Amino acid sequence: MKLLIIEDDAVTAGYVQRGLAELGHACDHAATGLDGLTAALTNTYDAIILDRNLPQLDGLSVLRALRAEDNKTPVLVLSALGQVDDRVQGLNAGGDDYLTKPFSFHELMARIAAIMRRGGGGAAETTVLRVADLELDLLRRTATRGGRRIDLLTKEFQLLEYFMRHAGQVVTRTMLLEAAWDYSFHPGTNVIDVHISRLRAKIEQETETPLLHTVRGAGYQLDGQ
Amino acid sequence: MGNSWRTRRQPHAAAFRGALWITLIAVATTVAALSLQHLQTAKLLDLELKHLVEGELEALTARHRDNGSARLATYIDQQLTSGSRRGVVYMLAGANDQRLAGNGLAWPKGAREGVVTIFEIPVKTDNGPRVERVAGEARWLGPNRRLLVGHLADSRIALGRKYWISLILSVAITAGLSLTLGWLVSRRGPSFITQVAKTADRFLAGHLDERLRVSGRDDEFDRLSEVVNACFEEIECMVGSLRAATDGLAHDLKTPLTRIKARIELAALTGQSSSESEVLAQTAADLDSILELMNGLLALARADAASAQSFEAIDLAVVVQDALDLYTPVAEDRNCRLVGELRAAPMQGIRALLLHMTANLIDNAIKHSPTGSSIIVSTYSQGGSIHLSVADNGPGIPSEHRGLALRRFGRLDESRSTLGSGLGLALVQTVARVHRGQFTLSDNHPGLVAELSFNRRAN
Repeated sequence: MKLLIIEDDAVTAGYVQRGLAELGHACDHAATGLDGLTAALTNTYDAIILDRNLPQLDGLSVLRALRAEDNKTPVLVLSALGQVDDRVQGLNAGGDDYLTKPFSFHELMARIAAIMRRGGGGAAETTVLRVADLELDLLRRTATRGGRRIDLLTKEFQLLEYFMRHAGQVVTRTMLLEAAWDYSFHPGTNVIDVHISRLRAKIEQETETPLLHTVRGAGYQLDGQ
Repeated sequence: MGNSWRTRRQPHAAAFRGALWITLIAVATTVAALSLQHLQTAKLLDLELKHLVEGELEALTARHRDNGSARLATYIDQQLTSGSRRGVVYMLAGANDQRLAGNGLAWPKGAREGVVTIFEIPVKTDNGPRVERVAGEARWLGPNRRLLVGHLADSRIALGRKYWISLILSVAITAGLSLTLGWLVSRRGPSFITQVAKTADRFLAGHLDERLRVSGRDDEFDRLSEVVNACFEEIECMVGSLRAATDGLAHDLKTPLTRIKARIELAALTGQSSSESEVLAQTAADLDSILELMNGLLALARADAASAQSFEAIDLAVVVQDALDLYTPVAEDRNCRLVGELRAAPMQGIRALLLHMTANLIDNAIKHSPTGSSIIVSTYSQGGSIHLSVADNGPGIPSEHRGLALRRFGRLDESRSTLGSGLGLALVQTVARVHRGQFTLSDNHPGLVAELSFNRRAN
């Protein structure tokens, strides 16, 4: 996997580069908006990590120029500006996701994995999601596991749908919060944990194999293997 | 801070200017009133004199026509000697203005026909001839016969003199009085302003307990004093809470930073022997608590900056239901019951802020509730106001500490070792203020009731 990080702070960029290298991904670095745009247009990348405050050409302009050239590389916008308006601006300019500084490396990796999957082409609209013997019918709003019917509350259904769409990936608590609640505040990790443990109790009965795993220091992962 | 703008001129200038204006107006009024009265009186006197003089002229002319000049002359002298005509001047003149009869001794130059004029004429008196000022009129009785009838102008002249004297006196008295009274009256405004300026100067110099005196007269000055005092009060309160907030922030930041520093130093000291992953996990947790603090502060700052322009029509009951959905599993985990008694509560507001506020109240209640107890969250609308209350059965807050609980970083535990950043209720307070609402804490016997009331239309 080859990534591009456009970030003027060399320390942050170096940290991300080293972290990605640990995970076996190559990562190019551009320090200005202009260099970044040139690199993004001349090479092919799997994803781009883009800072908003950049010298020469700001992040959102880079993003707009990129999309104007019909370049569909998934872009994760990185910024210290974290208000709802800033987020909306970033997504409207063509960003696939938005992450506020300071961020954790797990959060960054989980989100990059998510946007690359999205860019990969889930074009065919599916109405039934499956992970192992767990089945979620999006039209009838029902969940079953091995023929056993699972009663879910609205929020629990939304959470499970998000997990199943990102099966095998690490999903962070912030991602879950954004997916299911759309809140502009963070109600503390324990609140999310309580909701997940209830969901887990419903989809995993004592005799069944665990599906929803806790990834220490990062979040959760729904995995059937 | 430059002090130049605070050096002021003597404040009496304004009072003196005010007094001068009052004096000017009073003097002008006096002059106008007196002059008008004088003119009216003079006009009346002139009219009376004209009647008198012309009546006499008519009578004498008739006598001349009937009886001739010689008889008229005798008649005039008779009238004069009888003494019944005091102050009256007659003169009958022949060719070359030669005197034929009357007490006028020489024909005056200023006498006119048909109009009363004032002129000087030598008059025969008991003490010999004397030049007098006379108001009179002349008339031709025939060729070489002219008659003059006049009246001593003494009273007319005396009136004029009296007018000037009384004018000068009145102006002097008016000026004196109005200067004194005007200065006394005008002094109140400027002296009040001086007092305000002095108090504000002392306030700026750091005496934040300075307040203006309220006279109790319940006038505009008192109203202004009260408003200025309210501003001072607010500033003192804000400075106080800023100091407390800075102290609290410093403490809350220093605690995790100190832990991180100590942990890293200890790890360096003991080499690689200590569990590296444990050091890292603990450090990450400490950093998280710092970030959480920062996010809390930013949320508070954003709430502070929110304005009524971003208000929209919402139902507080729906917002509270969202918060209940979020926290019900958390409460159940702690063996508490979260009970919603929600009735429609339509109002104008910012949904995200109200949700955060409600979440903070519920979170607080869950944290302090004993196992097995219930937390009752209710919304309702009553009259023109919307109410939200969160009632728990926890330890509550003693009434004397409730003010402290609302402050930023105001935690009731002095050692600050309990959970929470100390910003939770401060945010509730701020959101309430932004929505022009009232936030009160009261006793639930046992426990705490947090109550909010908003106007249905916030503006």
